[in-house]
Amino acid sequence: MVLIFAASDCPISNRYVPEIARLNREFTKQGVRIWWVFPNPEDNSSTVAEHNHAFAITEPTVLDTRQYLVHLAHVTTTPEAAVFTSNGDVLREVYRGRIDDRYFSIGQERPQPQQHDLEAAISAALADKPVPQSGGPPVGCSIVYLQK
Amino acid sequence: MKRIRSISAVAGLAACIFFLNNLRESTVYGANPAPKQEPAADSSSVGRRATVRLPSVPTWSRDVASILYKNCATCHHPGGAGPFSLLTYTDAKRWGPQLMVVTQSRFMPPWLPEPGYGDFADVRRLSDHDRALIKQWVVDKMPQGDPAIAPAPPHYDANWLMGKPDLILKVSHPFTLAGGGGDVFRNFILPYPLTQTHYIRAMEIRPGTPQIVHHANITIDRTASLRRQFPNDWQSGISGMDLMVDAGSRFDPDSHFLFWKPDTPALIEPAGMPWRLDPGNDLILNMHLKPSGKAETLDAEVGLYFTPNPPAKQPMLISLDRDDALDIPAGDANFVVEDSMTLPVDLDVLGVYPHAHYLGRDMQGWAILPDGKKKWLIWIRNWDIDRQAVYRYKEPVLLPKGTVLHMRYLYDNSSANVHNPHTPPVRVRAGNRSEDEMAHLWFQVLPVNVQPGAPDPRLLLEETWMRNRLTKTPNDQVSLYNLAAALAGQGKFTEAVPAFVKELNQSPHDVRTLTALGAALEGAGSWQQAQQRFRSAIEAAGTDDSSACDPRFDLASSEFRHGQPEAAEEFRTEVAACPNDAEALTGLGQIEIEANQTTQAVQHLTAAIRINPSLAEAHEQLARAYGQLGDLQSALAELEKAAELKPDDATIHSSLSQVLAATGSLQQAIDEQRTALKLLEDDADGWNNLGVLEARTGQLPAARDAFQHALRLDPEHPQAKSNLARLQTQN
Repeated sequence: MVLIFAASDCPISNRYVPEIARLNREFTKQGVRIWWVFPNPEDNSSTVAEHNHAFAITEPTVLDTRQYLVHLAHVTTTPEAAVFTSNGDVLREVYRGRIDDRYFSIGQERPQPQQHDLEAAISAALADKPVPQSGGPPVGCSIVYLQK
Repeated sequence: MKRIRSISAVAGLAACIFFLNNLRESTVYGANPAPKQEPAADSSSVGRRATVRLPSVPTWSRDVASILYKNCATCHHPGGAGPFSLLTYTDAKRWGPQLMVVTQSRFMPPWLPEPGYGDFADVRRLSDHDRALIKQWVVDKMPQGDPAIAPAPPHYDANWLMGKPDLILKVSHPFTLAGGGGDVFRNFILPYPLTQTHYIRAMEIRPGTPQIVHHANITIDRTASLRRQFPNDWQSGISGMDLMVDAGSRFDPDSHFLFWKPDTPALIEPAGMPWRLDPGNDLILNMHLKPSGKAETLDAEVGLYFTPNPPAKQPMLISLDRDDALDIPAGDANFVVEDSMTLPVDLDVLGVYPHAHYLGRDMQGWAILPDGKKKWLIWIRNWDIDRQAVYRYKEPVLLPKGTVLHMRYLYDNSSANVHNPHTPPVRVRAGNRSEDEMAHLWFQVLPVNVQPGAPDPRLLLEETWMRNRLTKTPNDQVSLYNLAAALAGQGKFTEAVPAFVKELNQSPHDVRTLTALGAALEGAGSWQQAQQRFRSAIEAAGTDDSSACDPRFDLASSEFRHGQPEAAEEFRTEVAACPNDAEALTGLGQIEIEANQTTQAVQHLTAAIRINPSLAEAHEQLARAYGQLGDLQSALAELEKAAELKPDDATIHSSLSQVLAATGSLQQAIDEQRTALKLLEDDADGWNNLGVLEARTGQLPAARDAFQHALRLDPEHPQAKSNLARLQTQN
């Protein structure tokens, strides 16, 4: 189970749409389920539906209106990925962080990514190997937290 | 959690609900507290700087909105080039944490030059005070304050900023940029569709989808060379970061930085400096595009605003460059190249455009003035091609003759350079693909302190520039040709001939070089040899009529100049093959005037002017034709246009004087003749003519002085002699 936290108005998050589609194609046969998660309050069903249509997103998508998934995954940023493995009813987060190392910081960007952190994590989890952790912080837009 | 219709497959949706049920009941990962919003403390925090005084609790309404409106909203507004809007409090709050990060890192607003190293116009660098204020506001959880005191948001219109353009050019085939992958560099060709020359005072580029365009650069392809180079696919655009276009065979250095970046969509030229588009020119729109995540269609348009006034000042682009020295070892983090050039004339620097690709890091440009003082022109410490721009100086920077221009670029080809396109790094040389490198520092300059009547100082500048290039790349054909052409343009024909021969040795059948060599030989007095070269050029052009235009024109002109009767036929052949050649039409018109075929002459000269209204020669000849027909008013009008186009041409003022005298406006005729003599002082005929006019208006002492002046220049001048004698008998 892979969650991709995203925001419809975040440019860096949007630029990863083709990469997530690629990972989905690559891993779907091996039983990996990739989900888009939109946690920000301003991302409602109509804005996200419109967004997913514009970006031709075919992966399943959820609105995390109460930000349960944000809390579950401990994510702070869009885009940020969380990989879970399940053992019966118990979920274990085995990876949390950036998708790849394309963005070094906002404004510092590699022409192509060199480390595909998320891809490596999924492969390791599938192979029951120790999952390598993210090589750097996620870069993008802060998640807008619900007012308590 | 809500389900999004039409997106999720049913099976996926079920899994989702199942997953969430698990989540709620899970004891392993219970509800965690929300991560805290406070950004981590930063060592460069506000209180440290005594110079920055902030309000105790900054609010959006009172403090932040005005900063965002002034510095960010030009791009960040709905429909703007920025990815999101920053016009409302809700917007600002949404993006607050990012605003703090990008202003602290100075990623935004985009501005690369180091302050204090060149005094630029439209500086986008945010002040330390404003940066600190944004940071404090975010730390304080982004309070709104009293909305009643917030400034009114700026208004942005989706239409052309300067009103409806006089001409809109559109990319013929919209281009679709894929959602993923790396950056794309694409060149679109926009042919100039009009059949007459126009001067452009302003231009606006509307990329269609500005969010995906990093920057765009327009080059004028005077000879449509790129379109000819890619006959089959030019309409869908050509890839490549830097392209070379063929500037044609005439020295035509008038050049402008036509550079678009997101915050400057309209390029308004300084007063008196419009740029020019001739029939047959193409605009090359070079765009740096960044995929957004979804497929985007780009249908760029360029709006042009005309002015009827030709340029009063003609700037020129020159460069320092060291592409030849770019051979950067893999892993080298400190590879340096340098170039320098001594200026042969006084000039004003108007703007600067540093250019490298992804490995450039530290880029410096400076001048050493003749008195030894160092004057910084630009320093970029952390080059980023994504934010490259043209920088214009607030005031022109005067660099006197003898100043030495310098550039020093440092490249980082190590893996520590995040922009490095290669992993692991590889050896990199110069080239126009984005993974190659470049080392260019362009300046827009305007020669100043030019003596009236002196040769175009840009020719001397071109000569110096090309000699500088040849010291680095001795066999570079473009530099060899341009050097020879600059020498010929200055009348240094005997130097130009061997320079052209040197270039010809590398490409013996080059039509243009053969033609230019012929022209240089003609200038050096070897006109028979010249005509031979023109004939070889026509032969080398073969069946390609358009490339034979120039040698045919030159051959016809040479034959005409040397009284050869075949000139008329040669001009006719040329006009038939090159119907849009205004100069050929003018030449033909001139022959017809001399053969008393005045009606045909008027026809051809009028056609020439329709094609190129700023061709002074055509106006001059047309005036002669009207003179022949006795239509002095029309002749006068044409000569006035010619004088406007070439105010420093003594012959035109002399002719004006003659026509004015014939219409009875003697005092104006005297004034024009005096203007002519100011421009060309040693013209004995001119002094004699002035004397005649003065005698006719009764200004006898002045007339005597004028005749004597003519005789000092030419003691045997027959008319001046007899005029002076007649004047003395009258007294």
